[in-house]
Amino acid sequence: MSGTMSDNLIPPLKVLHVEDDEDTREIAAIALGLSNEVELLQCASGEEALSKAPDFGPDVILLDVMMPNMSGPEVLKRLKDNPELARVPVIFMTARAQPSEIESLISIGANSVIVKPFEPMELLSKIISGMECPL
Amino acid sequence: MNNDCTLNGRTILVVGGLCWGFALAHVESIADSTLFGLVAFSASTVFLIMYGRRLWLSESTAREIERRNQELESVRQAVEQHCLISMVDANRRFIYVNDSFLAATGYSREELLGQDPIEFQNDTRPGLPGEIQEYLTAGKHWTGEIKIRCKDGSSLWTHTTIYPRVDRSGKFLGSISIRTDISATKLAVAEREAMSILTKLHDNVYIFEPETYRFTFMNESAMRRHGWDRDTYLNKTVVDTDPNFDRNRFGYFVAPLLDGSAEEVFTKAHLADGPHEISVQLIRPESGAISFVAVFRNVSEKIEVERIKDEFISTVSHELRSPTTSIKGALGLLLSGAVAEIPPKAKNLVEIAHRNADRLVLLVNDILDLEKITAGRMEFDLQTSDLHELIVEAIEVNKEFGNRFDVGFRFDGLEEPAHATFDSLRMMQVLTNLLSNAAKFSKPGGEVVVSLHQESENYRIDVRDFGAGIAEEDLSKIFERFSQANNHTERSGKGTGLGLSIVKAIMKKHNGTVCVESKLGIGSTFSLGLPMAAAPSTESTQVA
Repeated sequence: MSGTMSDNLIPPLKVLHVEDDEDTREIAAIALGLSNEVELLQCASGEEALSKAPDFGPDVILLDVMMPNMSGPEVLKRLKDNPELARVPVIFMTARAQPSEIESLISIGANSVIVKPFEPMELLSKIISGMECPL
Repeated sequence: MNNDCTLNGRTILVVGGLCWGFALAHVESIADSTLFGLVAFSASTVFLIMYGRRLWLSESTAREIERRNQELESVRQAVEQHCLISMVDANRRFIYVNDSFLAATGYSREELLGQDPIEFQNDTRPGLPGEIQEYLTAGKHWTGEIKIRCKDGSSLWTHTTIYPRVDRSGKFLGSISIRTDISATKLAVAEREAMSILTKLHDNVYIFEPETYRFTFMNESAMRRHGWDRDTYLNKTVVDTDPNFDRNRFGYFVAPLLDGSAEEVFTKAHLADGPHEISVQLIRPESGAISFVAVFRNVSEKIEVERIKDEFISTVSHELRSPTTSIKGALGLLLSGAVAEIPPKAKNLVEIAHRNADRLVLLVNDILDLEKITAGRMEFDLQTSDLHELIVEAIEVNKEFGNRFDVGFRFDGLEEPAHATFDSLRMMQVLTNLLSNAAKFSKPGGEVVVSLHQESENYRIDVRDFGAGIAEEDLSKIFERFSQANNHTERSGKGTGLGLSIVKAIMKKHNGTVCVESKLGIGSTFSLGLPMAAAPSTESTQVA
C-alpha cells in the first residue's frame, strides 16, 4: 500500500505489515518510515497480504492477531503452507499478551510478539530483536 | 342513706316508746276502754310495727349495698389490673394514671401528671387527636389502636377506649381512657406474617436445633428440594439432607456463631440445581430454645449476570486498546520531534495528551488485569526463586521512575538468598506498583527504603516512604477497587485506583499478604508477606 525505498547500498529491511486498523497502520508507517533502512508494504487484511507477499518477498512479517475474515494465526498457517514464505520470520502484534497467549502464538510458528500499545519509536528495534532472537 | 334510716328509726322508737309508756300509765283507762287509751295504745303499736319494719328494711338494704360494693370493688380491681387507665382534664393534661399504666410504660406518676398524652405516643396520625376530641365533645366515645412510647423508647400497642367526662350540667370535664396492652398480639400477628413470607420465600430456609441438628422448620422451597412434608422433616436432621454431611466440618464452620465471634457465617456449595450461597445464623429468641437458621440461595443468575458484566468490561477494554494504541502512538511520534518540530506551547499540550493517553492505557490494563484475576483467568507461573534478587532488580527497574520524582530507592535487609515460590513477572508488578506509589508520594530529595526480613515461616518485604502518609479513615479502603486515598497531589498525579487492589489480588494468589501502616505527615509502610519455600526448585506450577 505504501512503501519507503532505501537509498543506501545495504539492502533495506523489507517489512510486510498486516493490520486492519488504518490508524495503527499509519503510525507504524510513519515510525518505520523515519528509517532509511526499511522498505514497508502494508496490507489491510490477511487475504491481501497472502496475495502480495510472494511478489514483495518480505524479510519479516508483522501480523495483527485479531482481524475480520481471516485471523492472524490463520494467515500464519497459510504462510507456513507456502514454501516461498514458510521461512520468513513472523512477528505478531497483539494486546492479548498473557504468557499462555504468547506461548500459543509461538507454538504455531511465530518468532516473537510485540505487545500493543507499542512505542512507535521503539518499533524498529523490537522488530529487529524479534527477528534475531526468536522466543 | 344508712344514717337517714337510723335517724328515722330512732324518731319512730322515741315516739312509739312515749306512746307505749303513756298507754301503760293509763292502763286502767285502756281497761275501761276509754277512747283515749285505745288511741294511745293503737298509735304506739303502729309506731312500733313501723319501726320494726324500717329497721328490718334498712339492714337488708345495707347488706345489698355492701354486696354490690364488694362486686364493684372486684370489678375495679380487675379493671385496674388488666387495663391501663388514665384521665385527662378539659385541657388534655393527665390528672390520673393507674399503677398498671405506670408499670407498662415505665414512667413515674410525676413524669406523666400535667403532661399531654400525645407527647407519649408513637406514630400517631396527625389528624387523630382532633378526631378524638370531636367524638368526646359530641358526648361519644372513641375506640381504636394507639401506640404509646414507653420510657425505654420501645412501643406499646394499646387497644384504647376514651370516654368523655361531663358534669351534671353537661359541661365537658375531660376524658377517661381505658387501654388494653395488645403488643403481644401485634407481635404474634407480625410473626405469623413473617413466617408466611418465610414459607413462600424462594430461598430454602431451614431452622434446626444446635445440639441434635433436628429440623424444627423448613419453608416450602426447602421441603420441595428434599421431597419432604412437615411431618417428615420434623423427624429428620441436617445429616439426612446430604449423605456426605461431615459433622466435624460443619461444627468448625458454625463455631464462630457459638462462641459469639460472628453473627453470620457463609459458604458456597454446588447443588444439583446450580451454585448456592449458604448463610447460617444462630437465633436466640426471648422465649424458646436457640436455633440455627440456614438460608440457601441459588446464585446461578447472579453468577451469569456477573459473567456478562465481566465479559462486557473485557470486550470494552479490549476495544479501547486499538484507539489508545493509535492515540498514544501518534502523540509519541509527535513528541519525539522526528516527524516535525512542534512549537513549545503546542508541545506542552501534546505532552498533556500523551500523559493522559498513558493513563488511559494503564487504566485499561489494570481493568483487564483485575478482571482476569477475578475470573481466575490470570496465569501465574509459580516458581521457587530468590526474593532478594527480585527486589534488587525491581529497584533497578524503577530507578528511572524514582529519578523523575527526585526520589532514591535503598535496599536494607537480608543480603542473602531468600527463597519463596512466586511468579516473577507478577511479583515484579507488585513491587513496581509499591515503589512507584512510594516515589510519587515522597518529598523531592526523599528516600524509599525497601527491606527484606524473615518472620517465622514467612518473608516480609517492607516498602517504606517518608512522604505525605495516608489518613486513618482511608487506610481500610485503599485496597478496594477504584478507591484512592484523598492525598494525591499535582506531583503524584492521580492513579487508576486499581493498582493496590491488583497488588492484593496477586498476593492472595501467592498465599501471601499485603498490609499498610501509615501516619499523616510521617509516611507509609506497605508490607508484603510470602511463605518461605523449603528449597529452590526448577519445577513450575501453573495456577489460574
